[in-house]
Amino acid sequence: MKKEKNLISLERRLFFEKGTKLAAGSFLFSGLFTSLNAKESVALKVPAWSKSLGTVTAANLYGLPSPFEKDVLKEIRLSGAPKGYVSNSIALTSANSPISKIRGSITPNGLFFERNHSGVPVIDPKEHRLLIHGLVKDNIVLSMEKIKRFPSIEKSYFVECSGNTGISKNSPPDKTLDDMYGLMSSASWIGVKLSVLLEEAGIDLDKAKYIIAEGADGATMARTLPISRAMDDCMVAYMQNGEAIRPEQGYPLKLIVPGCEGNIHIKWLRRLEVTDTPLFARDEVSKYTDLFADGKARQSTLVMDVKSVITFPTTGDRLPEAGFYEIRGLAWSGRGKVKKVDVSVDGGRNWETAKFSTDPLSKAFVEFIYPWIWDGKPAVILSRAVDESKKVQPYFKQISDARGFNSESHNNAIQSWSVNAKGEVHNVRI
Amino acid sequence: MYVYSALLKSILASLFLLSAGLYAEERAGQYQLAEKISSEALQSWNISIFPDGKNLPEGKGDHAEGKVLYDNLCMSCHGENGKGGIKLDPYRGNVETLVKSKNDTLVSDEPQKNIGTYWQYAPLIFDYIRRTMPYQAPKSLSNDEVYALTAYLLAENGIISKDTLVDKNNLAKIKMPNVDGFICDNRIDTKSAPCMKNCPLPGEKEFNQWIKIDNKDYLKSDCLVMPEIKF
Ligand code: HEC
Repeated sequence: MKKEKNLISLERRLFFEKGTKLAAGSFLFSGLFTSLNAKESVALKVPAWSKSLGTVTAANLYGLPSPFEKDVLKEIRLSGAPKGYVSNSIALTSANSPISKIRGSITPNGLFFERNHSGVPVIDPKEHRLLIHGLVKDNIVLSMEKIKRFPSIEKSYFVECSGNTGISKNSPPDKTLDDMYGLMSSASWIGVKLSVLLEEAGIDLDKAKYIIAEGADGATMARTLPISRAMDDCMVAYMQNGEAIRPEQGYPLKLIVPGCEGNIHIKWLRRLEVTDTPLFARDEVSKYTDLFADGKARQSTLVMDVKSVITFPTTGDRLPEAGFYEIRGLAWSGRGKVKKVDVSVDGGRNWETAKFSTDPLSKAFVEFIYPWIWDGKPAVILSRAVDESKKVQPYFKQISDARGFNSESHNNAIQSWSVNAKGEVHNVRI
Repeated sequence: MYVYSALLKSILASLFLLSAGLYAEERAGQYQLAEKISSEALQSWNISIFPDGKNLPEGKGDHAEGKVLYDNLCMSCHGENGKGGIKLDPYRGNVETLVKSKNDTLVSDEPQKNIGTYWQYAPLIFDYIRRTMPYQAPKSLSNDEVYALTAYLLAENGIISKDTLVDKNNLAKIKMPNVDGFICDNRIDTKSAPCMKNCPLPGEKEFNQWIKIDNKDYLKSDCLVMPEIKF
């Protein structure tokens, strides 16, 4: 298998070099594969927790992470509300997922990123209703209880805000992974296919061109969904990673539009209007449109294009010594499965294909891993994903050449990190 | 006889299902889980206002009424005359104003997107204010009040005169300056070959060979197609 080749070749290389270079006293491998040269460990102690009874079982009926993981939290930026600004309590409209502190293709529910337009409504599921009307045989209303009786499916899909890794002229070295990439998360969703509900209402497929989807929050945010997507893989989800969808993700009901920008995943879904005209809602005109230098703007830029990012090591990490590291990252594409991820450790000059730590799924995160022996010298590491539609993740320059700097969102550029001789890692733009 | 015809019907139906699949309308009510609702009973939720004015309610308002409402209900966050910008937090650069200032333009390093420079259709102002504003008390305004605030913002942006009375018959006919400012999503707009060895980097002369604009295969099905509107 081609995917495996690199790892095998690296393992061979390690073996080979161990036999030759090591004899010549290579710095690189001393302390790596030669237990003989390793620093000796102090004598093992029997810790207190092995000599006592632990805390009571089920101390928390909703389990919590280890107290040692207390710093793994969403990231927020409180403004301190200087004069002339509204108070913090309403100024905060987003929180980033701590991508650098978690791993894999699923985001824990408590760490899923948040972006709300009018806060998080507290919705009683018994009172919540989904209305389906417009170009349908019958206007219908569904309670949560009834929605849950429909045939269901489970699927993993990522949700990425179009503003994730926003386009900017400068990209300072201290920019962190969580800061730049925290507006994305992924979960396994359970719900009903949207097409099943639309068919239950008797959608008139000869006339229907769009579905207006709308939330029950104060903003009552609405977006226009093209019929092709509505009848394809969209779902109306009520479970997220095995439990009810979290309030800040749309409890009790969320529209999933696989592979598309976060904003169209309408949370607190209350209404689906089948129409032949788009709504041109505020969040598909004033916002979530990509402006070019000539003053024209792209509209309904739904697809989140193929993208990847190395999540270890990144800004703030410090490699303690030369030696073996597993470079890790996430890759995803709104156009289908990620086909491969290439990694470069020499600033983009040469690339090798990474392995996946699990099988890639369509429109879902997949973790890639790449074995790396850092030689202690400055290096620039980057990753580049290719998806099954053969789209290749571009460099930032390609995006800014094509779109200018005013378009703000849908930036899927290659991310690079520099490692200096001290092992300190920083953001760098190539 | 009845049994016979029912049987025939179900055989025919299953043949149909096998050959062509059931047409969506045929599948209506398949699960018998939904409640039907009359169009009157759903009106309180039926708040979409379309660009051609479809679904605009009865009511009317003008700039003078709108100014009183604006100063009382909106100014605290949006500033005097809609020119304050939304003072949410200092990290947000480029906070949009509601009203265009003289030199505001989209063609600049710091484009000014607001109702005057950017918004596409006038009924959208009504739709958004009615569903979302004021921020802390959405859906607290009467239709007349929303018409008045819409008239106020349109007039302050210099799109209508201050004496225009806005109602369901003329709102959709008001032409917004940026109505033609939007295009369909025509990505892919970057193209690269996944080079593996001795690859050129951005900024290097040979790099250009890896950039190619190729926007022929974009997803036209995602496009929001403009309705024909006579302004
Ligand atoms: C408490 C502060 C507050 C008050 C009061 C308020 N707004 Fe807003 N307004 C906001 C915020 C915050 C946003 C941005 C919301 C978002 O991005 O989801 C906004 C957005 C808007 C927008 C869209 C701007 C754009 O360019 O997209 C309009 C129009 C608007 N408000 C009109 C009004 C009107 C009219 C009133 C008075 C009836 C009002 N607002 C009262 C805070 C306020």
